[in-house]
Amino acid sequence: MMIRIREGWEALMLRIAAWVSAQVVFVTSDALNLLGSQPSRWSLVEIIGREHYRERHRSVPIVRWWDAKAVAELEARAVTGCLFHVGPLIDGHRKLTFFEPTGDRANFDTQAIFRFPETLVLSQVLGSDRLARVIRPTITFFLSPDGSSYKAGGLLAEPDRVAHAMGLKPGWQLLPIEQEGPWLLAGLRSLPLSAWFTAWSPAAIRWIREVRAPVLGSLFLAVMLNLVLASAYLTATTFWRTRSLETLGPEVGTLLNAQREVDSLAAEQRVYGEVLNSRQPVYPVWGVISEVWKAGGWLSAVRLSEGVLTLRGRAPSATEVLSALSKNRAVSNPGFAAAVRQEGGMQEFVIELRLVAGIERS
Amino acid sequence: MNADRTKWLLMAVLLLAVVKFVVMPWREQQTESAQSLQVLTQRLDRSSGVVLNKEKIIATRDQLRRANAPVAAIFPLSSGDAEAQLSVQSSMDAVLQRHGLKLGLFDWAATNVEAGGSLRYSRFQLQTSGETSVLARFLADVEISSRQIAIREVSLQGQPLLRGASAGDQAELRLVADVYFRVKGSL
Repeated sequence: MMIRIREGWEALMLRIAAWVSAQVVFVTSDALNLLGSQPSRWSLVEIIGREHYRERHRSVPIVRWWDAKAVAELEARAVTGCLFHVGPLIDGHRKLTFFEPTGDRANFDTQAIFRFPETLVLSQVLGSDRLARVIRPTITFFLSPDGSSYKAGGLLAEPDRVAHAMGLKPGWQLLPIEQEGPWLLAGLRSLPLSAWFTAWSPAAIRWIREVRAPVLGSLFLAVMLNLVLASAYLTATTFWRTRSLETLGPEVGTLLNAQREVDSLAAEQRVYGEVLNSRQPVYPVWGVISEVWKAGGWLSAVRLSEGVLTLRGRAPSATEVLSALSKNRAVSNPGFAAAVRQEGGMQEFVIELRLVAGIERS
Repeated sequence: MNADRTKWLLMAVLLLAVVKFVVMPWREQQTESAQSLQVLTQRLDRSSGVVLNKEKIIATRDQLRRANAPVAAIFPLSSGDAEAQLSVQSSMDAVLQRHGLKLGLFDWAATNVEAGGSLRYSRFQLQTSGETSVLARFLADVEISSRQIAIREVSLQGQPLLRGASAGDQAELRLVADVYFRVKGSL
């Protein structure tokens, strides 16, 4: 069972990964999804290859992310299609990275919801001691863990020199990347939420601007229509109910009063019954006292409370008294409530018993 | 701030104003109407029910009136607690005098306690002493003649012993009882 669940889970994960790969378009010399096929009209993410933009970094002393984003947004507006990323706060500064398109990017204007530069995505999966070298037929570039990249060429063609130029610490390792697909997927997973927030593609923003007015208008109309219909229903139903009440005639008030009186009388009857049933008849006590006398006993105190009768007295034989009481049908559970003591030729006793309810009828 | 953004901000302000001053009051009015309609529906259901069961309701009411009347007569109608207490004390005095007994103590332990419906009760404690056979007759008289009185506790203390029915022994009787009465103005 567990194996089947695990296999099913793995198959589901593979299908999700394949679906996501089909939804990510990688724009290099052509625009294909990560499965290597033509993308559909709308994709989830568009990743712009390094050959299509220039990188520019700037450090600003701004603590709040929102303020830094506003500054970067203003600066990015100067260049059409410029992407930007606001880095984390380090020593009171944030690093703003601008990705300015080089011009030939317009040939691959795919429609996606989010748009990221390739180096930003790949830098998310680089360890701090790694230098990535990405090799494609059209470009070779180096990428450091802090997101800075250099196109290979001229004096910076060899990894050693690039690492030296980038200021990597000794012991760094070269990470050659030739198949970017898996690296890009892993990088997308590691991107912070703030990066997604600033990565809305121009196509998505255009689409939202186009549809927001009709959507909001429809929503408002739907709310108003709902209110109108609800009001109409309430008015009509109230009118119908009132008419129905009027057609029942004037005797309704009298009948409602009669119904209330029935409820009240029934409650009253129940109370009377409870009170009368709670009465504990006292006269059977004299029958019990008489039994004691017949058995030769004398009584010093008699007490009846909550149906329990307590007899205190003395007799030549307390057991005979108890035996006589046991035979009386008006009592139940007779027994000595205290030790029987011999006193002056008589036995002193305390007997407790319960009077049987309804004995007056027997 | 460009014209497009200004337009959208004005639209948002207008929308919020409509929600605040039109939609929300309208919605609150609808909630009140729905509650009124619910009450009206319940009233209509009840009214339809009583009209449908008209004969049954009248018959049940008359039957209950007839059945309750003799039981209700057991419990005297009183305009107030003080009147009921005075009436009980007078009747207990009369019973004691009828049997030649003298009152040792009479005390109200609780007064005007609700028993349900229009019934209320007060609890009193009475103490007297006399010959055992007289006390027995007194107790029987209280129990039989005053059905609105429910005896809760009885204790009999021999002075010093109760030796037989015809021995003429003296005893002290302590009685705790509830006296029920109806309050005027209710059913």
